[in-house]
Amino acid sequence: MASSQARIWVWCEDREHEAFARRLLKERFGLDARHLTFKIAPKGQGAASAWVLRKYQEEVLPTARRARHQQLLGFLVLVDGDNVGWKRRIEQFEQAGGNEPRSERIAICAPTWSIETWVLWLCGEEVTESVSLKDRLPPDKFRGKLDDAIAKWDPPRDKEADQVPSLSAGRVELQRLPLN
Amino acid sequence: MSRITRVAPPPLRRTASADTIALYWTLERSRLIQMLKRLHLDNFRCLTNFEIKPAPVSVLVGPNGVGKSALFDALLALQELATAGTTVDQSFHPLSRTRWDTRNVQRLELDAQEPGGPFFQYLLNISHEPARRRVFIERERLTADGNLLYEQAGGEVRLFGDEVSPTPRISFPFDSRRSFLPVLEPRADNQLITAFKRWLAGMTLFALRPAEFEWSSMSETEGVHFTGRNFVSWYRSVVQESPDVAERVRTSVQPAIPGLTNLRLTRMGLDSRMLSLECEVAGSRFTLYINELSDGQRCLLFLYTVLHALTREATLLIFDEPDNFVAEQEIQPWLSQVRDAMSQANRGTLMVISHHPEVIDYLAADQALSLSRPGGGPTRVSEVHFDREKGMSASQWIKMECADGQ
Repeated sequence: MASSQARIWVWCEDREHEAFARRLLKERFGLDARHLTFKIAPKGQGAASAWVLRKYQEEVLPTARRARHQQLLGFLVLVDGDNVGWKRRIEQFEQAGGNEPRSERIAICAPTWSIETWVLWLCGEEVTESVSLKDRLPPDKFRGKLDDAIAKWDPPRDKEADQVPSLSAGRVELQRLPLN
Repeated sequence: MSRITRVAPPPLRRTASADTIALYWTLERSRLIQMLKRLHLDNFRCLTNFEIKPAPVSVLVGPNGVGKSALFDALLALQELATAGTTVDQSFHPLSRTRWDTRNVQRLELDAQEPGGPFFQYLLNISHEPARRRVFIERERLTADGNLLYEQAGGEVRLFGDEVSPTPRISFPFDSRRSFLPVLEPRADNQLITAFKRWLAGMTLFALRPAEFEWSSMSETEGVHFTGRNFVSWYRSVVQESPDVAERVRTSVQPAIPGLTNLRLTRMGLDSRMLSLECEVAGSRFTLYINELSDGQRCLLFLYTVLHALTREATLLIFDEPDNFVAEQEIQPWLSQVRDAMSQANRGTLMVISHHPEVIDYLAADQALSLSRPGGGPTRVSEVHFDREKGMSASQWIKMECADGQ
């Protein structure tokens, strides 16, 4: 369980990201709505990942710098890996931060292809990161699967690191947050 | 003028009679039509030939005086007329016509549908005769999938029933200053009209004025005033019906009211009750009454009561600047829960009118509708199309657009 004073600010692409992060942080780490602040890309034109990247440069990094002494404030960036892949996506963000090392309290999770891949995998289905699975889990069915996915967050399924390496990497990233 | 939104349906009496079974089906069917698809207003204050197609969740933005509250008032007026039984001159006062418009007819159209369910279209034409100081319903009409269910025109009501028929099942004269809809009793053969009536009754609109909250309550009331004025009386009714709501509200507002341990309705006389808050701070116990709370704390009590008591029933939930009085850090926790509750419980429509960046930024992920009045003329509405690659927050973008005069 997280410290009752912990606060997490989340930057993400859409409502599916928000729903996943909110449910995960609440159910698995004990943070409720008052401990979470979400910044979600507005509905519009252009890639939502580009919006998150700009926000990372303009808000996440400066805020993390200013709040370096606030040990219970964490920053979670949630951005789909898409066809770029999770490794390359995280590199993009780190490069956008210049040469400055990333604050230890900034976690970047890049579900690949998208958050739907993570949810389907957690629910016990076979998935691949090399194609989009959004058609298998449209928004109206996403919420229905979410409870099951979050309930099965721990322990990780066998072969997770091979089948969904972005999720394994995401678990490691989450350890940067003041959640324990 | 009474502006009470009725929110709680009467409890079902489960007997084996055919009428009861039909009524039960009515209630079930009413859940099928909970999505506002289109609202058209003409000749109502600054709303001339105004049309809005809201998404299930949307935020309405724009400078002061562009018609956001006029939209709110038009829906309140419709609800009063079509569910509370007010006369048309009370709900649509002659001064509610557009000042620069010489036409004497006001028009309101409303479409509602759930995917796969019947497509309802409601029309209301109100005629004003200034010389005779007369206001009357020129035409009121409800169709489902294009089939006429109900029509009132020329002082006559025509009821068609649920079965498709070219001729009315019954017609009779009726006072043209009132809608017949509030009078219509639910029956086995008018389930569709009844379902639409329930949809209208489920419209719930709030523009809170915490300074006007009454301190005590003489009786329970099922309806809640749009300003929250009768909050304590409504709260009495809510906790009578669902006692668990009190604990859920207490848990929700506890962080904003340090030391809060219990919410109680304290007897102040034979019938009078006050909403009291039992607190414990540093080992000392004391009681606060609602009039001793700050405006923001009163608003939070109200907003969380709405969240826990109303979101399952509201078909269209509209808040006019719910962020007024409330601290910035309190907005998103409440808003995210209301949004979730509305989209999960009954797939109703949530519209929030706001100037607050926190509200705009959070809800722009769903839909942001921008209202403007170019040259001070009629209100125009457009969906804001954000260029996400520019990385601006929705509120920054809208501010920039306003500065550009777009």
